[in-house]
Amino acid sequence: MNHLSTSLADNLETAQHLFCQSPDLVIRPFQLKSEQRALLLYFEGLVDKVSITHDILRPLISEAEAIKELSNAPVTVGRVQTVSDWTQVEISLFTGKCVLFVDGIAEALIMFTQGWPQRAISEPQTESTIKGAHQGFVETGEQNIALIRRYLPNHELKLNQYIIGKRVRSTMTLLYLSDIVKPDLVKEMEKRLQSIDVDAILSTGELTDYLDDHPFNLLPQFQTTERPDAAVAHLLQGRIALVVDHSPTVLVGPVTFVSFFQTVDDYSHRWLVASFLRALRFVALLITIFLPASYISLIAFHFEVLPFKLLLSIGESRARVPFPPIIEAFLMEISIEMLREAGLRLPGPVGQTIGVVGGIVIGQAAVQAGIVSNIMVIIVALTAISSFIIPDFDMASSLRLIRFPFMIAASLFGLIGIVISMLLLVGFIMSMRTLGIPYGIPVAPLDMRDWKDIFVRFPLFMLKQRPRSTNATQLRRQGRNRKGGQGGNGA
Amino acid sequence: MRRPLSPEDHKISFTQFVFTIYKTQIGIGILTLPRDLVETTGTDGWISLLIGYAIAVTVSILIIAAMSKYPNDTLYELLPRLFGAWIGGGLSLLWIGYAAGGSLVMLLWSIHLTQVWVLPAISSPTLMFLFVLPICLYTFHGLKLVGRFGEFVYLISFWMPLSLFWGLKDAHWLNFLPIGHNGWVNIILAVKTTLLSFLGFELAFILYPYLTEKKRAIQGVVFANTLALITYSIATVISFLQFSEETLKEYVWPSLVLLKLIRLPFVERFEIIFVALYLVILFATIVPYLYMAAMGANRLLRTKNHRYYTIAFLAGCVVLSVLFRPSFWQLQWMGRQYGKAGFLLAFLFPVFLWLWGIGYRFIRKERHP
Repeated sequence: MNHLSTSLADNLETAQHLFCQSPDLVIRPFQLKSEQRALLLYFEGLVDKVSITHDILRPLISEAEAIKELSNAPVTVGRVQTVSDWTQVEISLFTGKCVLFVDGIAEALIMFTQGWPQRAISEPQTESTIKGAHQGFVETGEQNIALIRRYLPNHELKLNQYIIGKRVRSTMTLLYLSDIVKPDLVKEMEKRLQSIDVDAILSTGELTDYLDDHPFNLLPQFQTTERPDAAVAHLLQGRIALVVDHSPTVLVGPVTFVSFFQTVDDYSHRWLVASFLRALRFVALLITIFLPASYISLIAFHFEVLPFKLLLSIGESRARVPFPPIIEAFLMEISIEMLREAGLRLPGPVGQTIGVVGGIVIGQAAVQAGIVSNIMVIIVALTAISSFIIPDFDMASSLRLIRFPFMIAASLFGLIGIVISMLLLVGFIMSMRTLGIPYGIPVAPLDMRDWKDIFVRFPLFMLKQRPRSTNATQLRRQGRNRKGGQGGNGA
Repeated sequence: MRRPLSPEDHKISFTQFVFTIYKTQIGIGILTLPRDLVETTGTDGWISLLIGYAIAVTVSILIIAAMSKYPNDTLYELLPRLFGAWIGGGLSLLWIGYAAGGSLVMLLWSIHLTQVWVLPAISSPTLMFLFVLPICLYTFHGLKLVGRFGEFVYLISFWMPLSLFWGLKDAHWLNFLPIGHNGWVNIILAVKTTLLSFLGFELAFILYPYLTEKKRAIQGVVFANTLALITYSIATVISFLQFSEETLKEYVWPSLVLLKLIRLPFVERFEIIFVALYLVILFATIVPYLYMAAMGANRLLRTKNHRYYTIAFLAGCVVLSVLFRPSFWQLQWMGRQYGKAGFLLAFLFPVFLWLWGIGYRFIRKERHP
């Protein structure tokens, strides 16, 4: 029962059987001008109705002569395709195409008239920028590819498409610049994508669980971006991008630990400012992980390290607090995490209220009630702020989690606990690989050639080559610009 | 247990080669070196240091020269090849014992150091258990991770010798004069102390076959030894400038006493933080030695995975720390025994190996021209 029948009545029956209980399926029997009977199927809501009326029904009903071959049917739709089995008809219908059957022909004509509801292109929420572009990806794969093509009109940009998900059948598009990217990388990614056997992949985030090299590790191993310019910047550095239909984020790999601290905006600022911001982010990284843990260890074990006056003011502020520092810290850290989550889930104006209630009322009241000390409030607030400086959301969330084991270790073993935890974290980072690239590159393994664009950002005309951390096969990024130092380009 | 490591997991780059050797050389020795030198030769110790450096460089180059004839052999393949299965196996065992002993002594010293300077109240088994965790992680992943660890440690610790410069605030340059006032004999005698500080270059025995740029191996060992010399010179010269000979003899950890001079507006006792961070450097000594031992045991017993031996050794260390808590004098005795072994195996053995290799090839050429 898989092949189409020559009889229109049979086809109609099969369709009704196959799509029973689908009231949104439109089955439109009509006669061509030559009185040949025909049938048009589509799902209401997934198609562009104007196009169906004007480009399909009108020409067929008012002018079509007898049709012998479907590919010659007088429809004015851009892209058409003939198929001969029901599986493909089904897939086409569900992806917003409409299907034409004509009596006497055992084939069907698929017409690409998709027009489902979609969101307008808007500014990305999680990666806002000051000077960069303000376009963000949307939920339609083709749109996202078009956005990338707008930035990268080059014939070397290749697209490999895969269908993943037995039930949902999402289209994944792997984009790469074929003359820059190392071929192994594409092969490896292809292998991983094709080995996925699931019902449905609804978002890019779900996909990472299947693609990660180290699924049990806390650190993110793929970067996701909502911005076409960021995706293109990654492509130009020799990475690959994966556009997942239904998802407004694009997966980028292979990434390293330090690449999570770079943003596209860095390149639109002047280089000294950008370098300062880069350095600030790494300071924020250290504060996020180490500040609460160090405070706990200093108070609980090594108070002799602190100068006497500082110790006095800390002691004064802690005088009324009945808890050891670790409980104090956990109370505050957990309440700030809850506030963050609450502010995120609530609609905008209510979210702000939560911020005020949490920040002022709980913070101030807790100090006055003697549950926590002022200094702990400062430490926790500083930690929270620095974790928000880290530009990548996944990385920031992971680091926020990592500081809890650090705090526990510090409360048990003081500075030694912190050092041991740090060594374990660094060991995991250094032993990880993503898509065949060491996660710790270019710090360990060391590659000084890449250091121009990590902790600081050198002027762009000095970044003559692509980063080596992506194993790109073609390294040349630009020729010699600004010869002789002073004048403009070669002037 | 995960898959055995493939040769690809061991390839190390030139910088990894240099920093792994350098960071293995810098260990507990630098913390006590100024006093050890002063005891024998007073403030002329820097001359002994230079002589020690020259000898260490020579021996390192001999190691590379001996290894370069068999570029794919580690020490544990080279020994059976040159000495036959039985003697070679015996020598391998000696080296395994030396490397394992070295890491055990270092572990015990690290625990002692931590208890003296950072956490007096903590028990040795707890500390041993904590220390074993990262060491286990780093040793598990083969030479690649050992090399990366060397690089990482270099990057996060290069400020440490520089922080000693704080001690220059009120330096007494006259401390050095007159040069040679303790007699040249004493200077030569002190060379032995300095030689032991350079121990660590014998890692070239296992690193060399995995080095990607073999031509730069000699350059690499010279670099590593020079970096070690610079670090030691900073520590000794600044100690000599700061303290008189008599004061210096009273300090057990003179380099750390130097750090006591550092007073920052927000940190009063900087040396506590310093010692906690210094553990990282000590681990960078323990890990390569432990790997050297585990790898040797793996080769000797013809098994596929060095991880069993690592776990066995580290578990043994934890058990040992429960049963036996060494005193400072016992630790010093162990250090001296390790030094003797190091002198024999790391300094005399390479010379012997090099000569033996030349003779061996000469005789084989005679027999099979």
